[in-house]
Amino acid sequence: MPEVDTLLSLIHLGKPEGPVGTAGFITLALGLIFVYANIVRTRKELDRIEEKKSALKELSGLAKENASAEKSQKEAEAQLEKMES
Amino acid sequence: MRHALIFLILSGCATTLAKDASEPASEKNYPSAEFSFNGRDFLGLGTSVVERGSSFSAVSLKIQGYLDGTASAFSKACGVNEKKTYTQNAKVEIPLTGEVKTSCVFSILVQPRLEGADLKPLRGEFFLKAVAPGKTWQGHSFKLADYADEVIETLFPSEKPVDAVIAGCSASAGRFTFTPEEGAVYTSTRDFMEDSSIKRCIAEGSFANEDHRTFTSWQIWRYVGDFSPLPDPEINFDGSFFGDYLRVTADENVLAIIWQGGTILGREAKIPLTEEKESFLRFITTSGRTLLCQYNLETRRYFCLR
Repeated sequence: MPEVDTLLSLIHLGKPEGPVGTAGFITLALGLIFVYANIVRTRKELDRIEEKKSALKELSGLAKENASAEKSQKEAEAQLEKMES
Repeated sequence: MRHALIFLILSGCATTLAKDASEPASEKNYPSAEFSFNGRDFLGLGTSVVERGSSFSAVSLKIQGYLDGTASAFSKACGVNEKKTYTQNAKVEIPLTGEVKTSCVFSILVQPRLEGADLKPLRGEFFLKAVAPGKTWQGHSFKLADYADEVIETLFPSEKPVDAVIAGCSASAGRFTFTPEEGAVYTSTRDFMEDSSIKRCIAEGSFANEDHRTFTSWQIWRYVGDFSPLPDPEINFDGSFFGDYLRVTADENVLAIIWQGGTILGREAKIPLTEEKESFLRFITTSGRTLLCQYNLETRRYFCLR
């Protein structure tokens, strides 16, 4: 079946033949590595931003909670002093 | 094919992590972070006293880590803003420096981490009361269900009527007169918490008559009434020729049992005993419910904080 053989040779992705083919293959491989490295770097950067965002949210929650608790205590202390005097 | 088979075998051997279906403790306003002040352990809430003008270097505030994770403490009044990473259930020391000038509330947050489990944070609050030298002070912390009231005992060594001033937690602070019963006066949270919408607050009181005078602080968190704290585990002492150990069976929702020697993922553990008189056992679920149990080897009894 010659048609099938031709088709198979067209989609063949095995070892390229000739100097031009090898250079192209290396360029393609390097390009893919570059793209992959960039994806990994972007993903890491996004994770870092997400972590920072969550830490800031955590801190602001903690600070808000703390402000309300310390306000409640200071008010109680001040009221007590006022009523006692 | 061979890889798929190995994967299946490994999957079969892997521990199933218990997922607590109940809503997160922090969202129900139930404090469950553990910390210690000058060696005394607290779970969720705690209060203690220091003399105004004393040095912070003489005291120690530590947050108990669960598994791996981060522990944070924040107090604007005392200038503390710490976030530290810990591993393997380590205790995190919160550095306190300078002189004690004012009372302060430390808001505490522990975020445990475990691969494969979504763990909710543990909240906590420590109230440090600064008093003038020589003042008598008593502090109490309460985790109350939103429908409940609590009777508070204040030690008062006198038999004569006591004048009290109570302030905080609600606008209607007031003056009261109590008669001591066997060396104590009894007040109720109802006396000063009329506003049921208050979820967290601190009230202060002064009790005095011609014989005696004492100050009090009450730290209160009201949690949503349908929240259930973790039930006590079953702990049995077992001894054999090879050594003594504790056989522990906890609630089915427990993710991990932690003790001085390590961590077991699951609700059952056989824990070897050391020569120490007391063993501390910690329990945690994914929704941030915790238990701290102290087992006494001499009496073979235990009690748990929740």
